[in-house]
Amino acid sequence: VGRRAAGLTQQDLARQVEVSRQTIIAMETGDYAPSVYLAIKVARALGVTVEQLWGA
Amino acid sequence: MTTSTLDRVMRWNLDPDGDLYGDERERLRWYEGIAAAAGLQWMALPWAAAVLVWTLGRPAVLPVAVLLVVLYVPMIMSLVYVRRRRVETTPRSYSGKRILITVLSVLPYVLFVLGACYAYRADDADAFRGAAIGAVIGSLLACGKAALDTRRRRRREAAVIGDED
Repeated sequence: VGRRAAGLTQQDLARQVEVSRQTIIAMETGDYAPSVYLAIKVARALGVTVEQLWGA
Repeated sequence: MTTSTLDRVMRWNLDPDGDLYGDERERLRWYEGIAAAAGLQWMALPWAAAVLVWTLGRPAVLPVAVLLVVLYVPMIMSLVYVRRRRVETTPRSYSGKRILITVLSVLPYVLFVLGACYAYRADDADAFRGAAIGAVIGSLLACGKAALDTRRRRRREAAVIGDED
């Protein structure tokens, strides 16, 4: 949701945070819980907070 | 914490800052796969060694022993590594799964040594019987030591908990 709101494709976001597109898909589907470092990078790339993305 | 040769070997092998294993998710999955494969090999290869020594006899003893040493050294390395990184390797308790894994991991080494003794001293029943009795006594002592270590760990942890605010 955050990614679409930011107008980014999975590939765009993957490139920005330096991971593979498969990793973005895994994070979006809940198959992979990112490290704190990657979570912060993703949040910054989307212009939101980590809590907004992964908070309860 | 100073960087030891072991740390450098592990770092080169795990390549945490390189792209050998891809990004962090891919790296995690690779590590999981490698750990699972290593865990299986640590059990399967000693069993294969025991079977080979008992079926092929004396010609198999030396080459299989060399392979076991090659397998054993990295196992010890991993144990030393995790201990140096402050991981408590003494089990907190012995669950059914842990007992099964311990038996499956230790038994083939005992069988291998007995097989090697038998291969070299098949004509001397007393020597083989002595080795078998030694293996049983050694196993019992190892069980006693493991139980003692576990009890010590529990006492140590209880003392730390009692000491905290």
